[in-house]
Amino acid sequence: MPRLLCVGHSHITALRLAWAQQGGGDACAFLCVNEPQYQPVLREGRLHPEIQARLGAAALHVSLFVGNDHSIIGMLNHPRRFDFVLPEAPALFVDESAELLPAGLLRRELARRVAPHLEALAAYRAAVPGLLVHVESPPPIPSAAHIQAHPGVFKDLIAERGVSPALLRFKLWRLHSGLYREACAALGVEFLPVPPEMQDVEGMLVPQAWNPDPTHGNALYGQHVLARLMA
Amino acid sequence: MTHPYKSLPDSAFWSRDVAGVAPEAVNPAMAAQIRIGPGDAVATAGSCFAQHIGGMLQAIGFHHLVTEPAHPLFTPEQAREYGYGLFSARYGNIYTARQLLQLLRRAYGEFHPAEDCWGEGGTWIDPFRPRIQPGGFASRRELELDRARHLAAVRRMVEELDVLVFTLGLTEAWLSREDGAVFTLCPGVAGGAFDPSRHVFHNFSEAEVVADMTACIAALRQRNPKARVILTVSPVPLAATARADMHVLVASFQAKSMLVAAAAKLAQTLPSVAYFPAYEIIMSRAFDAGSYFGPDRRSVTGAGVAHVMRVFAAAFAGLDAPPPPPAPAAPDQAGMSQIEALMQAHCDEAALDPG
Repeated sequence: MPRLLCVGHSHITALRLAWAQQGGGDACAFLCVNEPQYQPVLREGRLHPEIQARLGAAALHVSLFVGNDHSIIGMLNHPRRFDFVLPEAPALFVDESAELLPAGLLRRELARRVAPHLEALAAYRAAVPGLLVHVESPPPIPSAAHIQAHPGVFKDLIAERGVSPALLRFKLWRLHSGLYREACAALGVEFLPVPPEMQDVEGMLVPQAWNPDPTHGNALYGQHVLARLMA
Repeated sequence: MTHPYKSLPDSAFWSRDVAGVAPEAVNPAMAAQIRIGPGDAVATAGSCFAQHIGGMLQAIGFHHLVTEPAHPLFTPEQAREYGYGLFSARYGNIYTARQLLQLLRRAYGEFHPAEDCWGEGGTWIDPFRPRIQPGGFASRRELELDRARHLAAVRRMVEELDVLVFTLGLTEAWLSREDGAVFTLCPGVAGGAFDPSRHVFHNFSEAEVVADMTACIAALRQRNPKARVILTVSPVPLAATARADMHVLVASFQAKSMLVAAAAKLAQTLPSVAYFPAYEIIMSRAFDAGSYFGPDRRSVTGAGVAHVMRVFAAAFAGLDAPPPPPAPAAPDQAGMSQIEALMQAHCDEAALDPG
């Protein structure tokens, strides 16, 4: 029986790679629900039976039920460029040449998008007793050059629209994280924030943690998250 | 034996043009002095009934000018909740002529109300559109930036419109003692705190409404000389009166009567200003078994709005039968579904084939 079981979406890969680089073993297990046998993740309010069957009795359950919804909204320049005032840090720069959107409305739209993931988190909470930790999504990669160099499936759209300003992506990530913090508090799930050493002075992902793609952390990032989980 | 009534048209006779026609066919709009062409930009503002006017304009194929539209990221329901698309700009309900006048002055930097922001419990309320943002603004900076953008949208509306349809709603209002700023709602109702040393009740007289509306039209034409104006009066009764000595029903009829009289006077005296009898159309059903009011005896039914729409289309565009409403446009998601699909592929790739 693993000591630590991580269940969730693609950000789990950074942790899995980190564990493998550390020698692997049975102490940690990773269940990536992107795999087809776990779809759909939710069935009538409960986790898919294949997921449910693998939950077992780990000492620590870890949720990475999280999408990239903030990136869907804001990774690329929108044809109607927008910006907003981040409620938790209203003094941050706002591009007044872009369309100012109500933060509350953006938050509402993000909430609509993350609702299925929060339902999965709630189902996970209901399925296991004891400590359940949810891992915050990694902050954005600030470098547009890095994203352009590793565009993956976004190659054509990035060429067409360009990568949006890093600060806008950061603000959307903060809104996104705020929704998870609130949900965790309501569900009795511990919220594990990004390891501070993985953030630069502006709060974005440090270069050594960038995966060669537009949105994910790499194995080093996973290593730091794992260290926090196992501490 | 002859007398002046002998030569009058049917419209002059209750028996012929009210009692003598089907209730839903009553058409009290006389030959309009204003026409609305297919390309005319029609702006809307006013009390809550005016929210129907924008939708009505779109339904009959007119160009409803909206200078502060919702961003396509949001669903239509989200946009409405945040006051987008209800009127030409995101000013919410404008109940009095003085409020409209002050909005125009604020938009052009001619009036800066002293009490311009209400902060409470970490949120900020705009006293001049207190319900525009559910839960209020999250910071004073957000409110100020949003207001600047909003007032810019009001300026664009003023300068781009061909026709303004303004619906007068109330005569009662709460004002700042300091500078006369009209609050949309009494302080304390939807933000702020009522303070009798700072806030005072005022019931506008017919003369004041006429003067304020005349000033509004002058301000509008100063920026846009071609502007035509259609005035209506909201049939929606007062939700409450501030006058303890008067029943709300009486206060409501007094207010509406005065607004109708003021609007009629403006239409008779100012060029390119018309009065549209939406109020009378809705009230016409008070004389038969039907009603254009909902169960709360206050909100107007869809059938009432449709009747108003038919008469409006006939009066201002010569349309006997309004065209069928256009199919609701799919929200312009600006490629959002494509991005969603790509993000799914991107995350699957990262999860299943980390390389």
